[in-house]
Amino acid sequence: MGKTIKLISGDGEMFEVEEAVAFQSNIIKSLADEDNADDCIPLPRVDSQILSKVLEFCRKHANSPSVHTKFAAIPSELCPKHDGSAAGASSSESSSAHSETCRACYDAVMKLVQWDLEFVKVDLDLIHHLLKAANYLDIEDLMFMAVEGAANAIRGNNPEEIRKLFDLENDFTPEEEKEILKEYSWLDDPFEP
Amino acid sequence: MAEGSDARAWEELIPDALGLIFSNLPLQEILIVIPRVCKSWSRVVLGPYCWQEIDIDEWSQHCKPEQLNKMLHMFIDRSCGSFRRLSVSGLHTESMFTLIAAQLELPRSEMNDAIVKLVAPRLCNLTYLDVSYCSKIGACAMEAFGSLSFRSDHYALIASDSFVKVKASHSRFRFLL
Repeated sequence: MGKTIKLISGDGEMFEVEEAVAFQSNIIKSLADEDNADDCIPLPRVDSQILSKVLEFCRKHANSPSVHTKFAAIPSELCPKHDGSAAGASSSESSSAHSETCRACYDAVMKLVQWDLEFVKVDLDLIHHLLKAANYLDIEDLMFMAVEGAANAIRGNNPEEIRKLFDLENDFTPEEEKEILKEYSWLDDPFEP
Repeated sequence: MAEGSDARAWEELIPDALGLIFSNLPLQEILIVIPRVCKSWSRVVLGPYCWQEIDIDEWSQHCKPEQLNKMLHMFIDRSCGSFRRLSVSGLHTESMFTLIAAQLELPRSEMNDAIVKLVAPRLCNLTYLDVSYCSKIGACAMEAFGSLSFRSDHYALIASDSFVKVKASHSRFRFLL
């Protein structure tokens, strides 16, 4: 193991993980920079069950390019093909062209996306907690996937089905609901393909 | 995890997280399904968090021009002008080109060179611009875009191959073939 970071969950459990894993969280990264190396970083708002799921995600993403940055280049040191050969900063390969032409990177990112999609095929309760944790810990990729997981649960359902799934109360009167539908009557066929 | 504390969990999720979730949904769902779920979700759809990225490209290809304008204005209003990305095709009204965003995707739109020259200086936040198949703009417009000092080092400009003649010392231009 390289350099490790110790994290304490809200319910007092200690997790020791590699820096690269923990630093997926921008918050943990900045906290680790300030404190001295021996201290544990307390995360009072994340309990151990959630933290362990979060760390599972971070472990998978630790040495991969971010899956949702659209136009940023994937640095060549993260490319599976060039793994180990480039010494990072000394690589003179044009990193701006790298992600667009490198098949190995593309495949790696696609595989990671598949893994992520499976990862968020969980109950909404867990997605809710992951969303809050990703927001609190500032983990961009996890936020992105938790959002996608929640959107997947909503897509294609009517309001009543959505209310059941998300345990929400219908606070509209029937008249109010009708009003909302009327709002778009100026579009004759609003969404006809 | 306490049952009770989670009871109103989704309703009270911070609005920008909800907005992010909704913005991943098809347009029809955001406009007609989500606002009917409950009042707090309806409020999110009316607010800016849902409309940071306005993507009506597919819908704009089938609708009437006046409907498109009305829709676009509605979304821009809801975003309180804070949208970063706009994707719409076939913009007919020239005044619509006063849109300021970081990413503008306006394929098959009808603005002309004169409008572009006028508006281009305001687009200093651009990192991505798609003006593919905009048949009314030519070399003059491309020069105007080219002379922008973009904020970021990474930007892309998509245009069709008739613009190849433009003196593109800008290696960041990409041309559709």
